[in-house]
Amino acid sequence: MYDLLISFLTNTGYYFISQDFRYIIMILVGCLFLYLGIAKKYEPLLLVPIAFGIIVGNIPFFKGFGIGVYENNSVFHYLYFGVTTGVYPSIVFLGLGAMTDFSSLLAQPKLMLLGAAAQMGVFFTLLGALFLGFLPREAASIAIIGGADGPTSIFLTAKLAPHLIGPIAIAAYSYMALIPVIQPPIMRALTSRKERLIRMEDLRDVSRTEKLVFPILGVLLCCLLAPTALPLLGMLFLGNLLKECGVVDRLANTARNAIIDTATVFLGFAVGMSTQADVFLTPQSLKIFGLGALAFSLATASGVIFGKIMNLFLKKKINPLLGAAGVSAVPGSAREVHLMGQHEDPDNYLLMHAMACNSSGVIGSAIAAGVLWSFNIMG
Amino acid sequence: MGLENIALNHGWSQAFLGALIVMTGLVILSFAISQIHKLVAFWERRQAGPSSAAGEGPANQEADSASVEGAQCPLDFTTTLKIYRPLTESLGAPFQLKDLYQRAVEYDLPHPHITIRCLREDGHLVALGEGFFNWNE
Repeated sequence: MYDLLISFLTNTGYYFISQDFRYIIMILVGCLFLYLGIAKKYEPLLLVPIAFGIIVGNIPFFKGFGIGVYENNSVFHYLYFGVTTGVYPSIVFLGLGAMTDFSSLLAQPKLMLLGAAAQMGVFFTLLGALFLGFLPREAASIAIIGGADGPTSIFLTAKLAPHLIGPIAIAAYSYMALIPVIQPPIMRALTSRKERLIRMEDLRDVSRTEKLVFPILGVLLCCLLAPTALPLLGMLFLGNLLKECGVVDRLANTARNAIIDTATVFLGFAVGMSTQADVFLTPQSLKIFGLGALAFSLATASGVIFGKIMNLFLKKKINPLLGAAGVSAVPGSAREVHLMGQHEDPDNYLLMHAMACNSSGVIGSAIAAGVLWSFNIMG
Repeated sequence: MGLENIALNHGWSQAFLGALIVMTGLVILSFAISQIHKLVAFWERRQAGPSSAAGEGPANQEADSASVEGAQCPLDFTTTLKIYRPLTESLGAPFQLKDLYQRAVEYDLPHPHITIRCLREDGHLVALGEGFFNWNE
């Protein structure tokens, strides 16, 4: 009986956790994320499932029981399957398309260029990751953090460097949650008060026909250019067509509510669980976090600087703060731009214009992911 | 590690080409969507032309409802009537809506199609049958 008791005790989580303190660190990280999500309300829809996944994923167990996310045929392994195959990100994009109103973008198409400019951060970071010695596929997966789009980052990493999904997803979502901390200093440093005070012209009304044509035109133009972006952009534009066509409201409602919510819960939880301490806490992860911060900052800066460059050629100047919303963190970065604009001038309403940049950022980051995937398939 | 690793893995070309492709893609999309409303307006104008010539018919109603999107009838028609009534003086009474529409276009009046529709719906233009109308005195 004593032997049985000892054998049981040495198979408990308490025993394993006493053998490897890294699990405690990760559980504390999970608790910190829970605090940020619940108390500080930093992207709670994402952070709460991820944080709880981190806690669950870091309860150590006897390997071979078929419990963990990395063990074949375990329940969690099947949940994680949706991450590694890129199924969840595609489904999230369907819901995102059904939620997004592209009117502001259709009213001011030139703002789309800011969404493109913000993707430059991705390619600068690609160079940085290669400089630090990462393999090309790993570097591409790290670089896409600059797109500030969690599902896109997970999708590309699942295709190119599945062993890095945990740190990359956590980095991407952490930086998205930390937008109110990261972006404002960069925006302030790169713009003058006069520039921040620039008011944008009112948006024109957009007809239903335009909204209807956009997803069809969008999928054709973007996916013919980068077919590897199809799993993301195909679903995004499908969701948007469901929303705008007006004859399948039931499907659109399901896509923007039940479907995206289900996918978000599983995606967040599975990604959180993939941060098992023995796999996650490595020097490589630290480098990824550093590069992720660099990617995010460079993307923000690229957008703002491009906004200033555009002003050199435009008669009607645009507010360069909008460039910061070119990263696709919807709607966090648009909100930050709007708040900063209002901080300088309470009557300056930039939200709808910033949403236009945000929407184009979503499209831009998906194209960037497709392009990086193509390069690495061909390479 | 270092610049050698970038060069070895075609990092420079990947970064340059990647940025160029993303920018090109979005510039093309941006240009295309900037043209949508012009094409839609052109299409609606094309539809509006023959349909107004046909007078009151199902096709006319369809064209009317298409052009109405995004615009609203004025609450007070006084000003509208002051502008539109003189247009029909040279046409005589009764007149056809296509002629009124053409006059309005000639004078560059905004939203002539929807304005005429609103005038009809509000009872200021009375149908006399066979595609002819007159002002409601």
